[in-house]
Parts: sequence; C-alpha cells; structure tokens
Amino acid sequence: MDCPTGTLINLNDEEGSSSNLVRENSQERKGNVNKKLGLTPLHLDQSNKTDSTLSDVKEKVQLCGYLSKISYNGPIKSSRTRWFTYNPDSCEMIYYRSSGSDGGNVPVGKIPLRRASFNFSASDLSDNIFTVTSDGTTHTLQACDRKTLLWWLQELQAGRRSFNLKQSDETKEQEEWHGTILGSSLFWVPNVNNTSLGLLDVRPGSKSPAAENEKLEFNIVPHLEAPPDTVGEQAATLHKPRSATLLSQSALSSLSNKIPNLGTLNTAFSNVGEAAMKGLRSQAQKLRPPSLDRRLSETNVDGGTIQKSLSASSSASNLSTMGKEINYQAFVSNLKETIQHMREEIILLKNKLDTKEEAIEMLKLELQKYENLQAQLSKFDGFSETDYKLRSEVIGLKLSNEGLEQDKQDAAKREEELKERVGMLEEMLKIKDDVVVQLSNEVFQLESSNKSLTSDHRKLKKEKNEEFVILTPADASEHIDELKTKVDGYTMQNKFLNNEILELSNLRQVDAKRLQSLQDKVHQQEAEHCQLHSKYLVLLSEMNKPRTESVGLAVAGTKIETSDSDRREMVKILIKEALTDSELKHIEDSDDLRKRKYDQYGFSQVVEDDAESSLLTAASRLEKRSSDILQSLSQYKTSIAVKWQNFLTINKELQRGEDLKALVRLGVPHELRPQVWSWMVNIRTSHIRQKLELDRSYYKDLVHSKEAQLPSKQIELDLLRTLPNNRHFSSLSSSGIDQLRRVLRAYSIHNPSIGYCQGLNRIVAVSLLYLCEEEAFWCLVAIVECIMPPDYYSTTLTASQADQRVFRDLMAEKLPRLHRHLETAGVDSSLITFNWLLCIYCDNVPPDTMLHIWDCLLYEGSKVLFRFGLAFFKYVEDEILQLGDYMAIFNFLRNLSFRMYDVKVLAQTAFSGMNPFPMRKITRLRQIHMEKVRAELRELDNIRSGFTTIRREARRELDSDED
Amino acid sequence: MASRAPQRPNNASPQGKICQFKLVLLGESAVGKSSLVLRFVKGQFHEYQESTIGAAFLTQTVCLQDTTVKFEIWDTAGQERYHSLAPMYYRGAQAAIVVYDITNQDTFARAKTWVKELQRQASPNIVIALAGNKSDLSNKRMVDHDEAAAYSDENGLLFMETSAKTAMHVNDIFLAIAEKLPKNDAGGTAANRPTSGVDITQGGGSNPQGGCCGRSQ
Repeated sequence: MDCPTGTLINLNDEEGSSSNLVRENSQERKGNVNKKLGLTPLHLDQSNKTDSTLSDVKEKVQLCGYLSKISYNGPIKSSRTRWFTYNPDSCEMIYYRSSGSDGGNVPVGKIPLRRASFNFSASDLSDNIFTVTSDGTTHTLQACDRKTLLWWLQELQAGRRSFNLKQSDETKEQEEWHGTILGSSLFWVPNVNNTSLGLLDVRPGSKSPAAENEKLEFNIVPHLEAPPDTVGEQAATLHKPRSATLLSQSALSSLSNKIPNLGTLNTAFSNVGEAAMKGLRSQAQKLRPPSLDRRLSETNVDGGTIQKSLSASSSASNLSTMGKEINYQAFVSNLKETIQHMREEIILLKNKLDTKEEAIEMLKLELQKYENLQAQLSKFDGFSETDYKLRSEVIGLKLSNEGLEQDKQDAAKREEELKERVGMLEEMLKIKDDVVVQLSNEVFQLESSNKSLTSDHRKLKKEKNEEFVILTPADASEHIDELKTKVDGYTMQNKFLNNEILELSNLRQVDAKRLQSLQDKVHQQEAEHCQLHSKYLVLLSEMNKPRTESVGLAVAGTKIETSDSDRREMVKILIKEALTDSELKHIEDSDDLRKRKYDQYGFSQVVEDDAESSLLTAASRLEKRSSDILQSLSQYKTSIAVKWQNFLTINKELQRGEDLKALVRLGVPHELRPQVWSWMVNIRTSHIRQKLELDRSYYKDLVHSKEAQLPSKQIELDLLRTLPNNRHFSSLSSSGIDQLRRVLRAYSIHNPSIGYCQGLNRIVAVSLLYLCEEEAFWCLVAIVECIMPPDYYSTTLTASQADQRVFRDLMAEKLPRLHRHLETAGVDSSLITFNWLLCIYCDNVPPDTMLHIWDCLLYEGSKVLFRFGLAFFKYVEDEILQLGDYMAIFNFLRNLSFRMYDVKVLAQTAFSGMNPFPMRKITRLRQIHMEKVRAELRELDNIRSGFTTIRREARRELDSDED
Repeated sequence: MASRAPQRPNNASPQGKICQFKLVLLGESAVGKSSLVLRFVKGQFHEYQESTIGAAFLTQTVCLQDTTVKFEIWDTAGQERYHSLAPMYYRGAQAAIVVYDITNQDTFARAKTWVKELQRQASPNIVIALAGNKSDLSNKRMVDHDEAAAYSDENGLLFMETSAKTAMHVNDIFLAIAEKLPKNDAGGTAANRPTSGVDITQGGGSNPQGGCCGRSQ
C-alpha cells in the first residue's frame, strides 16, 4: 500500500541532518513501492550516515557487498554467496540471501564483531578467503578479489574499533550502564526505511559515534579505497554471482595472473639452459688439451653435437625437460662410447707393442746366432776364401745387425711414444670420467627436479582443469607463480596480523579501562545499596520498637506517645530523603541526555510530582528500573529476538500458525513491530479493503473529501489531550497531531454510525507510533470493525458496557476468591476495567505492557483483553485480599495499571494461567449481557427523554460531530 | 439515600468524626472536570489534561472544625456517548459538582440537563454544586455570572465560578460541599456497601495523606 509519505518525517532522527531527511523521504517512497507483506529491503544507508557531519561531505562507501560464506559440514565444504552488510550500531555483519533489490531481504544470519578477530592465512589468500572469529565460532568468508578482501578487513576493523570506542565513551557518561553493556540492540533491522513510517524510530539507538576514532588507526597496512563494483550499494545492482561462476572467475583470474609469468619463466628457463650449456662448454674446453689427437677431437665433435642439441633445446622454448634429459643421457652414452673406443685402441696398441717386442726378441736371437757364426768364422780365419766369405758375411751381418739395432731403437722410440700416448689417454679417461660423474650428477639433479615438477604438476592437475597442464613449462611457471603468491601472501598476512595485534591490544586496553570504570560504578552502587539497606533496617527496628515497649510498659502511655512521635519524625525525614534522592537521580538522568526524558516509544519518563503518591510512584519507578535491569541481565528480550529471527529465517513471509501465535505471545520486538503490525492489520482488513479500495485510494479520498475539511469540535478538543506526555503528540506542532486529526476525521466519515468516540484518539495515536497514517487508519478499522464486537464504540457503548459484565463473570470463574472479596467490599470492578478494555490498555499502563497486549490483540482478537485484565488482577490478588475497605480497594485499583511492568509474568499468567478460555463461552456471555444492557439503556433513555426537551435541543447543538 | 458515610468513635484522631462521601463530577466534555479534581487533589494543573475515558477515581480529605471529610471522587467522561455510563457513577453519590465552561453557553445548557437528571435520578438528598469553570478567561465570557447564580438559587444549588488554572475557588467549592453535607449518624447507612464503617488505618494505607488535613486548607 502506498502511504502519503511525503508528509512523514522521521521525528526521532534528531541527529540526522536535513539532507538525511530528504534522502530518507525519497528512499521511503522507493521502499514503499517495493513493500509487500513480507519484510522489506534493508538499506543501512541512514544508520551509516547518522555520523556524517557537514564537514564530512564525501560519501563513504557503505560496507556491504557479496561475499561467499564457506561452511564446513564435517569433511564437506560448501560455499554460498551472501549479501553482507555491516551494521555499525550493533557492530554486526548481517547477511542476506541477496541484496535487497531482488526481494530476498530476509536476513539469514549475523556475525557479531564486537569481540571478533580477523585473520587470513597466506595459503588461502590466493582464494581470497579470510576468517572472522567471534565468540568461539569461526566464519570463513571469500571475497571475489584480493582488493575487496583487504578492503573488507580494513573496514571491519574500523567498524569494530569505532564501535568499541563508542561504547567506552558511553560508559564514561553516567548512563544506565547495564543498558550499554548489553549492547545497544540485538537486532538486525530488516527494513530501516520503512520502519520510519511510524512515529517511532525503531532503528537501534542511533548515537553519534566517538570522534576520536582516529587515534587507533594504524598505518601498517596502507589505507585502501573501496574497490568499485564489488562492494557498496552498487554491488547490489550487479547480478548475484553464482558460486560456480565465482569459482571459475577466480580460477580464471589466477590463471591469467599466471599467464604473464609464463614468459618470464621461459626466459628464466632458457637462462638456466644457457648456464648449463656454458658449463658444458667449459668442460668441453677442459677436455681439449693441446696434445689431444684427432680421436679426442672426435669427442669434441661429440661435445659439439651435445652443445648443438642443448642450444637447440634451449632455443626451442617448448622443449621438454624430458627431452633435455634424454639429450644428456645421449651425451653421456656418447662419451662412454668414445671411452670404450679409446680403451680398445689402447689394447690394440699394446698388442702391437707386444708383437714388436717379440720381433726384437727374435732379432736379438738372430744376432746371437750371427755372433756365434762370427766366432766360428774367426776360428776359421785361416781359411781365407771361406774366411773372406765369412768376413764379408760378417760385415753383411754386422750391417744387418746395425740395421736391426737401428730398427730396435726406432721400435723403442715408438714404444715410448706409444707409452706417452697411453698415459695421455689414461689422463683423458680420468678427466672424462670426472665429466661423466659431473654430468650424471647433473642428470640426477635434473631428474629429481623434474620429478618434483611432475609431482607438483600432478597436484595442479588435480586442482585445475586438465587442459591447462599439458605443457610442462607452464606447469613449472605455475609452480613458481604459486610460490611467489605464497610469499606475497605471507608478507601480507604478516603485515595484517601485526596490525591486527596492535588493534586488538588497543581494544583490550580500552576494555580494561571500561571494566575499571564499571567496577568503580558497581562499588559505588553497592555502597549506596548498603546505605539504603541500613536505613531500611533502622526504620524497621524503629517501627518494631513501640510495639514491644507497649507490651512491656503498658502504663507509660506518655512514653509511647513520644517514641511514636520520634518514629514519625524519623519516617518523615526518611521520606524526605528518599524523595529528594530519587529526584536527584532523576535530575541526573535527565541532565545526562535529553533522550532520557523520553523512552523509546516517545513517552515522557518524567513522572509527575504527585504529592499524594510520590512515594508510590517513586517506588514503582524504581521497580520498573530494577525489572529492566534484571530483564536485560537475563537477556529475556534477547532470547525473544533470537526466536523471532529464527522464525523469520525459516519462514520467509509471515504466516498464521501456532508458531507465530506462540511468538506473538512472547511479544513482538520493538524493531519488528512496524512490519508485524502492518501485516496483521492487512490480514484483518483485507476483506473490507477488497470491497472499498478498488482504486486503492480510499483513505486519500476520505481525507480529501469535503466533509473531512469541516472541523470536528470533539476531535479538535481531544487532539492535545490524547497522549500529552508523548512527545509526538505533546503540542500542536508535533507531527503526530496532524496525522491523528486526519485519521480520526477520515474514520468518522468512513463509519458515521460510530463517528468519533473518545478513546479512539488514543488507539490511533498508539498505532501511529509504529504505522504510517494510512495503515493507522486501517488499524483503527481493524480494531473497531474486526477485532472488537460491534457496538463497542457506538453512541451507546452497549457492547463495551456488556463486556465489563462479561469480565466480571470471568473473574468469578477464574479468580473466585478475589471476586467474592470485591463483591463483599462493594467494589464494582467494571468501573476500573472499563478504561482498560475500551482503549485497549492505553490508559496508564506502562508502554511495554500496553504494546505487548496490542501485539496479541491484533493477532488473536478481543479475547486477549480479558486474559490480560484477569492477569492484572491475578498479579495483585493477594494484595487486594489484604484490603478490606471499599475506598482502599478503589485507591489501590486506581494505581494498579501503573504497576504492571512485569510483562513476562503477566503474559504467562494471561496465556497459561487462565486456560481453558473458550471463545464460545465469551461469545455466549456477551450475547446475554448485551441483551441486559440494551434493556437498561432503553429504560434510561425513556427516563431521560421524559424529563427534558431542552437537553435534546442542546444535544443537537453541541454534538454536531457525534452522529 | 442520605449520607452513607457512617461515623464511629475515633480514638486515633483528635478531630472526632470522620465522614466519607462519594462525589461525582458531571459536565460537558473539556469544561475542566478533571482539571478541577486534579487541582483539588494534587494541587496541579496541566494545560492539556488527558481526556477521561469512562471515569477516573480519586480521593481527598478535607478537615472541618470537628470533622474530617473524606471525598471519594468520580470524575466522569464528558462526551455524550459516555453519558449512558453516568448512572453507574452517580448512583449512591452524596454530592455532585456539575461543571460548565463560562466561555461556552452550550456547556451551561448541558449542565442544566445534568442538574435535572441528578434531581430526578440520584439520591434525593444529594448536594449539588454548580461550577462555572475557566473564570480566568473572563474576557471570553459567554455565560453571565448572575444568570447562573439565579439559576442555582432557583434549584437550591451551591454555585461558584472557579478556575482550575489559577486555583480560584476550587478548594472553596469542595469545602462548601463538605460543610453542607449532613454529618450526623442517622444518615450513615451504606446501602450499597455491606461493609459497615470505615477503617481509617486501611483507608490511609494507600493514601499517605490520609488522616491529616488535606492541603486544601
């Protein structure tokens, strides 16, 4: 439904600048269009901006965006993309299925950050994963890129810091400490814009944060500007990334990160190849001593081929290390072959040497033979001819011997030469062996590195798509890249953790200070409490004295008199003290901050200085305060809020059912009332609206109709007398007044048979606290025409009167003792209950209780009125039973409703203490009593019309607005 | 029905008798009924007093020379439709204040019909006072003082022009009623209240000023 929101200005936003108001209004309009029965989208905009002062014109990117929430269910890891926002008022991260724009506006959960610490591990950094540890649970979140991740961390730290500082500032102020300890609010606010439709600001305490935030900023990690698109509101305009695409995106980005590195890796690799080649060249040069023969040069040639192959392998960037290894192996085997050749050669040479030695040996033997022959010849010298012949023969032999000698020398020379060559070859062999060892070592190294590369490669293969892993250099480059990112990650983590440690230690100091101040306060309070207690005990003992004295000294009447007056004097002093005490405290409170003057519903906290019942009111005020404290300690409200939250998480839209009924009976949290009430009103009135609101402007037409322009005397008289102690209705300039007037006039036109009945003004005023003007009108329709029996507010109030009698009957049944007691004392409870029922407990009932009753009434119907009324009586049954006198009872009942602070107990009594509570019975009782009341009214009318005609004229003149 | 406040020997108080009377305020809406009561009971005045729904109950004690008069005051709602409830409140009342607004002639006419109804329907001996309220606004006066006084004389009513805002004649009108009420034992039968007698100590229990003279003096 559309409300004329143009006139609606959020009253409570006193801190907000006027530009804020303008923005709110425009957003309200936007929000209303989207508004359905469910909960409407969240824009944390305003709550973020409440701290933006005029000097801070620059728009800060609000902390929100998509993150993947990774959860581990045992071994299963699941990742869900959620829309995360940060609520600075409660210091929580709230996450939704998606951003508000596409309707998935139900918060899925929240992460409190007040005590959280942030971390990311370097190994996860490539996935942009960081963790938030809060209250013992760790949430793993994934950002879409590193910049976003760092920005989130930075902003969350800042948020945590400012919140903690703010809190400590608040404790410095002499505030209700318990309230601030327990957090300003437990709520995620599902719909900030639309909640401001009513007069109440249901946003959790919009307080201006401490200006001294800066003092805790650290500059270890450079400040980041918000990355565009991935964070902030504009991120919501992007389509919600599916987790699958997100993953592939990240994979792609990491790959693309690696791709430029491929080139560098290749160059690096070729560098390595070149270096290896150089080494080989030098080794080859070593292998080239100047005396090497051509066989050696053959090996050189082999080395050259190796070089060639190596250079070929290095020049070809895509050559595999495997190939390279094979080359090495070939090289080695080549070397081995040459060595083998050489060895064979050596053996051959040795063999040759052996044969030559054998020849020499043979020649030596021949020489000996020749010498023997010469000796024989010399013996036969005489024999000239033979001698001559022999001589010539000897000379010939000598000559041949000389030739042989020369041959032998030559052979020895050659042998020496060969020996030299063998030594050289052996030397060479050694060198080659060394080279082989070196090379095989190198091969081994290469093999092992290759193995590790392939194993890494396999790992990568598992993780990545197979297609990327075919090329081994890419594999290696990936590896190197991975290492680089890891190093980067570790340095970044290190920096961040240093920063985090500093932050946390600082926060700890702040906390320690706060703790100290709180402890001081507690001690102070304890001291005060002890003082009060001692006073109380003294008073008790004083009160006790005269009685014992009067027993002991019956005769000494004068003595009793004096002690009596003493006692009175003391009591007087104590009363005076108590009153000034509570007043002083009160002044402290109201001086503290203006807002203390009004509660969250806008009701004035200042209790009237009621001389007669000042003690009682002071007592009840203290009672309320103590119950507030106890309630906040027991976190009763927190648990209810959590239950609501769970319910809304499970059920995306509100639906009637036992679950919801039970929840409503616990009370609707302040922050959710606008939505829940509006939903309830809608359900109640949908059938009426279908008939009336064909063009959807029924209310506007009523407001602008001619009749509505005529001033209605009674309404005008009552506008300022509706809720004079609520600041939204306290003066003619209060915004609630105009709305109240329009709604009441519209209703008197809409339903002329009822017109305007005193009491309806309060009903409208209360509904205006949470609902917009038009909804408040329909709320009035719902109450008068759907929830309450017909004729409840009519000109004779017939049903209303009948209901008092129904109430009396029910009391007789449920609280028989009390009922008898009241009957005996002559007290007619209906004189008191009339107000309760007619204006739905708006009159003098504490707001918390009243609103709780409203929650239940709107959901369940008019039976709730009886339940709570009876619960009120039950709550004080014993006290009333102590009172015997008619006037004392009335006096007691008069103040009864003021005291109904304990909503929890009252609701329990109302709903479980009064069962069974069949509606059938109530309907039957109503019928019976309606008949009786009608009869009585007829009688009265007869009497009245009988005795005067003037009156009728007067009535016609006076009550033009009545009928 | 005569005074229903029974008296009994009172040992605790030197004043002697204590009487308890039921008093009802009637009149058009926004003439100042609640303000008169608030001025009388608490000595306060609010420019914008919450409109009364149904009725409000208050008590106040007035000390006369030898009697303490305790008023139980029923402040009724002024709007026409609440008038059907009025009998519930004026039933058994010993005194009534009919209030009108001197700046509004209509409220005076309305007051006259209330007087008639009381004379017909309420206790026969009921003491009725007519209060012309808002006398501080005499520049806007619409109801002539003398006219109202003459009407009161005719009908045997007490009459005063009052101002809850300035407190003028507020206590006086209550005192005048207290004086006029019969305080003899004979009238003290509590017809609609089975409890005989008034227990001072209990009555005072919820009223800190009980037993002492009200601030009206």
